[in-house]
Amino acid sequence: MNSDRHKVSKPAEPAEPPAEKGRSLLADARRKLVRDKGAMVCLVVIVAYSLLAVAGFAYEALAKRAADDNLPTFAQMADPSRTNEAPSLQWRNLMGADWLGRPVIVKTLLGAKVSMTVGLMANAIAVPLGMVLGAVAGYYGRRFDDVIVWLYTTLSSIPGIVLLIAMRFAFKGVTVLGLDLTGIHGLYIALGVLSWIGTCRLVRAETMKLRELDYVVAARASGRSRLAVLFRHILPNVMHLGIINFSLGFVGAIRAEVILSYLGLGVPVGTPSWGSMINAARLDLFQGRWWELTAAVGAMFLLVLALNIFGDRLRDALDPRLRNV
Amino acid sequence: MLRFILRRLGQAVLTIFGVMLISFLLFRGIAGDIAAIHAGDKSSEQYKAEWRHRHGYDLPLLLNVHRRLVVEDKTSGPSRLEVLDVRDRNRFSRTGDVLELILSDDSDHVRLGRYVRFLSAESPVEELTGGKPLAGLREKKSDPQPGQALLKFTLSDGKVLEIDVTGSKTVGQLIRRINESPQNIDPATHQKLVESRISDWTFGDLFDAQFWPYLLHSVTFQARSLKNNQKLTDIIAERAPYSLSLTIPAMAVGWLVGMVISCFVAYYRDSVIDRLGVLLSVLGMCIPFLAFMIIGQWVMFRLAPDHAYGLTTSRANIYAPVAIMVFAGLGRTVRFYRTVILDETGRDYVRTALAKGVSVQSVLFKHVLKNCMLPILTNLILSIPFLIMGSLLVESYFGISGLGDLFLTSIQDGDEPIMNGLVFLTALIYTIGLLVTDLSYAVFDPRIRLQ
Repeated sequence: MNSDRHKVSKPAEPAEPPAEKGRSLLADARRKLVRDKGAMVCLVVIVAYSLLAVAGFAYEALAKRAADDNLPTFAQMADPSRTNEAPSLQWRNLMGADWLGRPVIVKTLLGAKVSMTVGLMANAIAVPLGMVLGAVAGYYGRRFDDVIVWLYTTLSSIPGIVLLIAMRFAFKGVTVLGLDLTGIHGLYIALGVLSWIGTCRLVRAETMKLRELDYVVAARASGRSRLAVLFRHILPNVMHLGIINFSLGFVGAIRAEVILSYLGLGVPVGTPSWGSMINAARLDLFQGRWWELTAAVGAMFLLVLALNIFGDRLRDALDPRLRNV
Repeated sequence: MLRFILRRLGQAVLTIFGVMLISFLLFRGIAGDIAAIHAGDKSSEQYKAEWRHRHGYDLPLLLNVHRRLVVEDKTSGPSRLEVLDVRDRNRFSRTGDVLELILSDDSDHVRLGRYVRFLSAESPVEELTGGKPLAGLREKKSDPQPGQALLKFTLSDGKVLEIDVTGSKTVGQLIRRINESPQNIDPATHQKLVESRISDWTFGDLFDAQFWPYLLHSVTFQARSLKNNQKLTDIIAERAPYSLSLTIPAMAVGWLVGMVISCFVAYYRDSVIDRLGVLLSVLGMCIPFLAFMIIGQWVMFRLAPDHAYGLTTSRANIYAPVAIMVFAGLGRTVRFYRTVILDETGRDYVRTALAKGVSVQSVLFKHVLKNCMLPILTNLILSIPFLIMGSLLVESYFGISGLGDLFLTSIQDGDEPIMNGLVFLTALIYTIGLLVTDLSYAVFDPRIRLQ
């Protein structure tokens, strides 16, 4: 026997260079998105709107504290001498003035604050809710599945707008944990608890597929609890669905807010929002005043367009199979 | 197949039940005080309570499980306590400083207090009286010093018993006052005339709650408006024609236009026309519906000022709303139809047909279109109830008194039976539509039956 064989010998060659580290799904998606010029343009638009929203918050807080004529709050900008003034090159009148003489351009910019927060908050409620419910339904199956499927079938068989209006009606004068649900908080909650259905459906279907995969079976076989498998092994693998739905859900929330505010069921009276601008301006066209309507519709159109395109691209980058859903 | 149908039917029934439960909880459970809207905001508590009782709003929401305050008449055998004034059952009422027990129950027990769910000896007495303390309360500042609170009731032997319960803060104290009152002892026999206690948990009237009569009323379409007592069915019969005259043309025209455009776009796949079509439909999807509506009406007003508002004056008034609904939906429709058509053109049978020399037009319009109809028709059927309610904005904006407008006004008026009835109706139509599509899929497509 050749004893040399059993000798532990130093490797003659240097160790192989470590295999190139695989890119994660997110990194891969990011690369795809960064290369996509259209998506980047849309992202810039979205970021600009977000900054506007932050600036709106900051300005309102400052103006409220200063209580100074040089830094007027939006309500203080009313100027009876400028009522319904047409647009001109002066910055204040760039988009004209509304029926109280307040500058429409400021109103529109402040409207971004409402829309962006509503989109953010509604999805911050809806997406985690949909993901957890979908994963539980898909993973545990049986009774859990039956109840959750029943719940979303029920909710989706009532037209969304009707349900939203109903919820706003029901929330009138209700206070929960110190939050007055008549106002904007109720709007977040109503939109949040009504828009988890899409996420839930997708996550449930995906979880059902994942449940049968070897790695999940192996995790179960090696003694991990069901809950641990669900949160450690399944939820991270459906996270991309959450991200996709977050960006697509934004559009729905913004649209819903505008319609509700138009009906007077959205933001409180006096809060500048695109929906209440459209409501205030609905008869303006007949008197030849186009600026307030145009400003609100234009601002919303641009944001919705950017969100729609970016959402589509994001979906393609994260999950090409979903392209035709 | 029969099992499939039965299972689907069961699901549909459960869904409808869920819809009713949700809308019931929303409108009755959470929604503010409906009595305040209908009985008048400034009317007295007693009047509001009476209103609630008359319309059944004083019962528990879902299940009637409760413990009551019971007063038993001990004077003569199985008899009942009679009361001085029959106005409402099971509640205290204060008239002046005398507290009267008012009830109209035909049972041996006198039940005090409304359906208090968790009544215990420690519960404050206000739970029985609708928020009013027994005594020690002056209604007006000019009132003299508060007097006694007396419980008055007529016993079965015709004697009127007055028990002083002044100062009772909790139900336990109230019970002790009643039981230990000197008036409560029969001077002849030294027995108690009435005996008071808290009942055990009562499950007997489990379904004597708001939800079940509501369920029955909805299913049998017996709901009546709180405002003018008109029957829901009559209101719907009166208003549905307006809604239908708006939504049916909108749906038909929208489908036709959508089909034509998407076929056209799909035929010139990957060319400039296709790109332009997709771009336009994405842009169209991003314009808010409200903008379509307001600008549409303005355009109609410029073209024909007489036909831009209302529906009853002229038939031509329908053009603007229908055009708006068609245009607003076009972007989404074209995008969806195009996806369906292109999905279908990627299939093997299309390649086969093209390979054996069938012309492109023939493949597209004869084979592909036929196969696309299934998802497109499903989509169309499922949009029916959403069109009924979806015209809500258009109807209220154009002053068309259809169902959407009805829903909005009943929300504003707090007309709860009408709101619930309309939600139930839309959910019913939607569920039936879904059921019929599913079943016809199962009949025509054996692959689905197997799943």
